Amino acid sequence: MSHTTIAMSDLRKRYGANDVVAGLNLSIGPGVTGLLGPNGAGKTTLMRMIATVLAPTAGSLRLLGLDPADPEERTELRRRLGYMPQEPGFHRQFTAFEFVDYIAILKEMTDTSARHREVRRVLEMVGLGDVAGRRIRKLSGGMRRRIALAQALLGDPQLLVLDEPTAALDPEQRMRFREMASALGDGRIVLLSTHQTEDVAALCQRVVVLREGDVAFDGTPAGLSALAKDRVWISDTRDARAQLWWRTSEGRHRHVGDPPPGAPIVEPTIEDGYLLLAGPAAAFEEVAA
Amino acid sequence: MTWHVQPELLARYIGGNIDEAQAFSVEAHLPSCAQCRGAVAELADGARLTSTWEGIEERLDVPRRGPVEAGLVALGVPGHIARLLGATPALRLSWLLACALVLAFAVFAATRREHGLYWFLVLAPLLPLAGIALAYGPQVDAAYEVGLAAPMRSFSLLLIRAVAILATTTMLVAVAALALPGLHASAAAWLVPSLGLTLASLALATRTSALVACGSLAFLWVLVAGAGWRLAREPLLVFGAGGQVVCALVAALAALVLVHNADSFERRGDMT
Repeated sequence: MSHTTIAMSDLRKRYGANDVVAGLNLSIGPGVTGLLGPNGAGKTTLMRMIATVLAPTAGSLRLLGLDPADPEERTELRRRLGYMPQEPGFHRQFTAFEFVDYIAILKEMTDTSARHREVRRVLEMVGLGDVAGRRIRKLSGGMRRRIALAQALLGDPQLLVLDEPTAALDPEQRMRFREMASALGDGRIVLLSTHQTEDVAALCQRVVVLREGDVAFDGTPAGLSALAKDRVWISDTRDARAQLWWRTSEGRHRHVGDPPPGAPIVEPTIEDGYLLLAGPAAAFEEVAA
Repeated sequence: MTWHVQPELLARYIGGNIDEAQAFSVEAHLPSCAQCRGAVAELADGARLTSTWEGIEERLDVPRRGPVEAGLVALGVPGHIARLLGATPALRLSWLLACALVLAFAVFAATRREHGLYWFLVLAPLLPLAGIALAYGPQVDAAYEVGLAAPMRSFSLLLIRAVAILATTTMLVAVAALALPGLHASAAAWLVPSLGLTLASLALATRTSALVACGSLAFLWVLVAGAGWRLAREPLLVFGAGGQVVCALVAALAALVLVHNADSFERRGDMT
């Protein structure tokens, strides 16, 4: 088995009678892999199992060739892991520097000057070098999110697990994140979950769509777009036969589904492919996001 | 007409072989002279510049320690451990002040009421227990989830915090005990029960959250202490030799359970 992969076989996580992750078989190698799916599809549960904070109910999971169920191997794995949770918490009385420094200590960086150098490096990477000394309670939501990202980058980890890293970022910050994540994907495994199909299109080499705890799609972003080939059309009025539709900024109606004969077919986007696959619930989340 | 720093003086400035007055004169000149600044940049040792710059950043960026952290460092605790403890709610100044107030109230009550010592002894072990409840877990540690994924074992973090809490509350209670009327050796009878309760709470926390573990044991402790008084008509029965032995046995058993189940703290994402 490769030492540079995430490998899972029949991986399950059950809460009560509900299989939140229902027997996943996946192998993920270096590069940026995006995880898409509607709320409740099992994305965060899967990310947390890969981040070693949650034990699977059944199945096998190996990360970088190590077994997270074994205490020694798990510790070794955590030395090579960076994790940004979906809802990162902060000690709000700390400054940005102090908080990242605190996490660096948990990451076994005990040499003070080397640790401080590393804290400065990751804060610079996420563009927070200038506010390092500011209390977290005084920072905006986007800045806090970037602090959470900075701590995940400590120690230059081989495996980066980022749960909705672009939530709360403004468009410029999102662009900067995409540049950084693309660079990080060289030689490392970067797994990110998101509701933003544009992020996946812009930076992921591979995309996995989860639905009800199982893989609904596994391929390239272009492959996901291609699912909606010849199934997207635009018209001036709403077509009730469409599986999904929404009003565009030009006031026209974009439809996804089985087009009527002669309908003006347009080029599909990754969002069309995703919505076709994930259904109306995902369409609502896309609008909300 | 302008002047420039002589090459020989500049070389000594860059090498650090210059007296303070001359260095001051060179540094006063450099901001207004691009030519001399260029000469410094050409001659300066890159490694020395980097290390000087890092030293400046270290002074500017690294914030001052808070009172708890600074106090711990002054007591000889390594800086990185002090930072871990500084993030512990149960070691914040507000918590320590609250403990001091509760103890002052207990001492005051002990001076005014019959069986005042009993109330003091029942209350004292509850303080470290409350501290443990506020030391670790998703409800009280904002960075709990990120900490779980870090290589430092959660069990080690919990132990470091528990020892610090036990030490600080023991000091506070010991100082309060000195203020009790008619100071007697029995004023220390809370120590073994406190150790037993603290270890039992940690052992129970291997199966449930620290908050639930500490809350349940606090309730049980008050119940046992009250029942001892009511049944035996002797308020200090629980704190007698028999009670001390039982508490010591509970402490030993809890320590064994804790060590055996240490790994249960490591993948507790289910509790968040």
